[in-house]
Amino acid sequence: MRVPLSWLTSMVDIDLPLDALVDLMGRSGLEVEAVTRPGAGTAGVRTVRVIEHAPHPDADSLRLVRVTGEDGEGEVEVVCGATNFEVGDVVLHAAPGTSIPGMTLESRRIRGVVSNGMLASARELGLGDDHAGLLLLPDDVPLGATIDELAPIGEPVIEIAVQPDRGDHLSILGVARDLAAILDTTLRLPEVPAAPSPTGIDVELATDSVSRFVAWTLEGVTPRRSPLWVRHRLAQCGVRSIGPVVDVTNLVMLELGQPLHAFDLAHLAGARLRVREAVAGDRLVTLDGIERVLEPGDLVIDDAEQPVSLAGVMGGRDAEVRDETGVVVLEGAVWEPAAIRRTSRRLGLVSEASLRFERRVDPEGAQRAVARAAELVARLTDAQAVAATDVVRTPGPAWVGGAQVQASAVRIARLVALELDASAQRALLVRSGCEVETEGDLLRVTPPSWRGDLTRPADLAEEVVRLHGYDRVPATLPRLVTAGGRDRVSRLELALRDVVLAHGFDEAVTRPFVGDRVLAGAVATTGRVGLANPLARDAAAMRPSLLEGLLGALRHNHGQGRPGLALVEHGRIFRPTDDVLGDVLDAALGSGWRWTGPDGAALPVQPRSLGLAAFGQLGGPGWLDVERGHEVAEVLAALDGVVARALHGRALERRPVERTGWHPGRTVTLHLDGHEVGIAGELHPDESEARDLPGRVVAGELVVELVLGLAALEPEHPRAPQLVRHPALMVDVAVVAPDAVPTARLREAVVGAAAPLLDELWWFDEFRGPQVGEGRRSVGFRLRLQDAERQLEDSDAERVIAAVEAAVGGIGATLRR
Amino acid sequence: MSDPAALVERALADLAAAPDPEAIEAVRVAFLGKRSPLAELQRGMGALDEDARRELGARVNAARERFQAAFEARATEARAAVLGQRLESERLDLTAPPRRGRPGRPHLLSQVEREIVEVFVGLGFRVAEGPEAEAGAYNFDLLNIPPEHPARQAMDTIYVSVEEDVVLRTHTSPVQVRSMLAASPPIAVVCPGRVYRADAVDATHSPVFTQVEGLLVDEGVTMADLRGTLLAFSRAMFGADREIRLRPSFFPFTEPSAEVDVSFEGSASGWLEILGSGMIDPAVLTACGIDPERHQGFAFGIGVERVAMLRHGVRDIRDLYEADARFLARF
Repeated sequence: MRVPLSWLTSMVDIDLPLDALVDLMGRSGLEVEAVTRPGAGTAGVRTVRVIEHAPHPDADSLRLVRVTGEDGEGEVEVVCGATNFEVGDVVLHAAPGTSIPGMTLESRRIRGVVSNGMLASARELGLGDDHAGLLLLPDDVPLGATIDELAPIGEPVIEIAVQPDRGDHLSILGVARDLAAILDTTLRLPEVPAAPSPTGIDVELATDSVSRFVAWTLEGVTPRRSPLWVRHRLAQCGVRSIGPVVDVTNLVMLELGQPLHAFDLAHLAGARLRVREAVAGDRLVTLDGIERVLEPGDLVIDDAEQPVSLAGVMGGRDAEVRDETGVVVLEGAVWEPAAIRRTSRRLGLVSEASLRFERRVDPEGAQRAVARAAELVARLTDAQAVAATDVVRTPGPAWVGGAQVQASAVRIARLVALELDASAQRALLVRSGCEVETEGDLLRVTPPSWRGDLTRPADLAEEVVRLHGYDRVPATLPRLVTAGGRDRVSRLELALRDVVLAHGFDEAVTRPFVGDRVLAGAVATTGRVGLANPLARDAAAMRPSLLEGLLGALRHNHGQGRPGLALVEHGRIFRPTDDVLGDVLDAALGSGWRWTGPDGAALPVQPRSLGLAAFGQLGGPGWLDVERGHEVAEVLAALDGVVARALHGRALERRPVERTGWHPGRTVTLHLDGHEVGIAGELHPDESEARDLPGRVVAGELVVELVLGLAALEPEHPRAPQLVRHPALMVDVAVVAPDAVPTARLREAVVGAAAPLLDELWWFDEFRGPQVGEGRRSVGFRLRLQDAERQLEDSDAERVIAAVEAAVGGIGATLRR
Repeated sequence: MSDPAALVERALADLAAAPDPEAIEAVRVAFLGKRSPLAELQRGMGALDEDARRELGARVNAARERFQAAFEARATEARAAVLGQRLESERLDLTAPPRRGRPGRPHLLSQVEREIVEVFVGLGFRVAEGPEAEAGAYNFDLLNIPPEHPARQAMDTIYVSVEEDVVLRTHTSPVQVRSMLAASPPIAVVCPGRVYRADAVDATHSPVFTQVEGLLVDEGVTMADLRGTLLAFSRAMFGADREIRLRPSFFPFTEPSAEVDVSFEGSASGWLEILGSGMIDPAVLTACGIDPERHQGFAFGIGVERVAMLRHGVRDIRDLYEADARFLARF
């Protein structure tokens, strides 16, 4: 809502500099978004009459115009490009030496003819967007008057962000009234004439969605132009000037907050209006020329034959006022906010009127607004109010509100932590226009008709503290009696992220939306959590894995000339309720990890996940290894580190796998307790090429929700090991195996064979060559053997080696002696 | 027949000429070994009479001692020379960058989120989390946002399913709702997480952003408690000299409601808006099974991006979601 300063001060005295006023408004619930000065820079522009005009001798599109001089006498010649005026019209002349926003005028030659300044359009003066021709003024304007004698051009206009529950702020009156309450001063309402006594047109209210309907009949409307002050006010508030009658309805809406509509009586069949709910099949062409198909729930105003207005939203085209209109019906009605909101939303049609009705207009304000408008129309067009109709729906519909609110002053004071007794609170509420009775601690408050937001004790508390000053609320710390803090899983989650960081991966945060094409991540699926109203085609679903975002980030960095980068992201991934990932989590953790709505309906599967991806050359601060790139080993090591940190004595099992988009020989799925929980590997060269990523790209993902869930099932405090003090025996074995037997199986066999004495095992070497034969390799393991009871001897080592030999023999491998 | 003195003289000369520890050892073996002339001499001593034997024995011992001392000195010297050469050859330029990886860095948003959460943890709040694809009932209805409310329109809220009323949560308030439904007062929770709005990406808007919301419900909670808590937060995050200002505002789930500004040098008014807050609306408490006659509470919502951008001078919110290595390395 834009509030011109002089309009505001016409209703309330403000003895504050502008800055202080803006600050006060902001601290009192009238948030100021901006202060502008439309038209600022205009000086010395005067009214003149067109005496004569002729075509420019050397330019078809220009006119030579003679207008009256500075004092209304004499003559001045101006070159002008507009054609919307005739001899006798009153226009605005910016003479040499005067200024308009952004420029100071001087005499200058235009196509060989000297132009003494210019004749101005509305836009050139900051009076709106109209640039189609000159701004034409009514004939009775005094000539030679400067523009600032006619209107306060360039004054401050305060733009307010109106809160959803304060529809009463959508008018100058509303803002002035609230400022009067805030400043504890008086409000001046514009005087309005009494209603003419004859009854006007017949009005019937056939719905509970209207509480009051006022309609005055005005005769003798003559075609005139809107005066400058009206146009200026509308322009200050961002409303276009149409003609005097419509301008007045808009002006009064801005001033008093009550939207009005003007019908041309000559185009109303039967001189009667009937308000009803629309039925399927109703149609109406609105003012904007669009035919609207109505539905039950919409509200229409009919004349004797057909709909003439979409109530509270927009008038109908056929009955709108026009130049030749002689008799006008000025209508002001009070509509149910929810009904107007529904219609406005459904049709995507938001008007200044619907905006106000949706947020509730003063149910007592229609009569005053129509009277005010009738007076202004009379002043501008010589019309006369001849008859008036005022229909009140009885009994009043419940949505009108206004019921008395009872509240305990002590409870209010305690809630807002202010020492305000019942009488102090009453005094504050009275400033807002409430009627307040007190009975001891009890406040009985009847809110003023314009304050639909005051319906409960909490609302009164806010009003009390608002007028007393939010600044005066003291600051204390609450007495907290909860244990607080992070739970075990939350702490572990942070620790796991730190493990990956320690492995050299920088943390990324990416937007969690994906398009159609997605690289399969942990526990692959084609299921998607799609969005009903996505913002873009390539953001039509929620990410099923973290890898898309990370690969996009790698691509961005490659584009910026980065030679290599390793990234980690930690966040939720999204799968349909019945996704395979849900089954995995169910099997490992039961169903406690699932989120449900209040009715028990399952929400999408959305576990926390850890994604890793790296491309390009290895490097660190100040160095780069141009020979070596990032390797899958880094991803595996980081994810192993995560599991080792979370789960004592358990490790990820790796199973070679072929997956679309991944290198067929360099990819594994990751398993924990037999459940598939992740993937790690190198991207297929075609995949990295398609993503415009150079060289080898490695990636991995672990559904960390599952790791966290299993960790929560473990004893919180691990037991300390009993350290064996007997000397240890080191034994190296070399196992020769076909390439088809993975190292993990060899390791498993060795561990199984050496188990009772094995303290620790290290893989230390892999060797290929003619000695071991084609398609085979020798894998070296170092075993640390130890026994809690005794010192081991060489014969123990021999026994272990023999057992290892037998075990690896069982999987097609031999021991190299 | 050799004289021990002569033998030792020759051995000492050999020691002096031996170029390295191996040659020096060879001299020692040649002089003291079993087949050395000195050993021969000793073996022949049995044939001598006692006086001659004693005399010769003394001379042999003297020669041996003389050699031993010279040998030790020469061996030590040679070893030192060898070590010196080795150390010289092993010289490394340690001013070159160490060719090892460095630990990764946590993202600015993570750092700021964690810092905010820790402030409230320090005050006694418990950390709670919830789903990002959330039931409309938790995101809206129970928070006093009725079905026809403008905030529920598709232009503001991203829907997973309109029919099933599943939305991408527009705030972390549903976690507060879940907390209130699951426990009885006193309840003090702080809820970090990603939230969503149907905003196109530009320098100041993002369809996904991060919030830390908080909630305290107990007997006798006042607006002063809200102010004190947020003052403590603002000072912890922005500096001990900061002041805060509460301004009346409107949120469906709080009444009274307040926008909170923190004093900020360099802003035109001296203040910058950092969060929204208020006393929990009685309708919300009732909907969550809490008796508003007995318990009151406050709630607040902090935009992590906003705090990060203000405090660290981030000009474009897109920088927070691009994972540009130059940006990541800074924090």
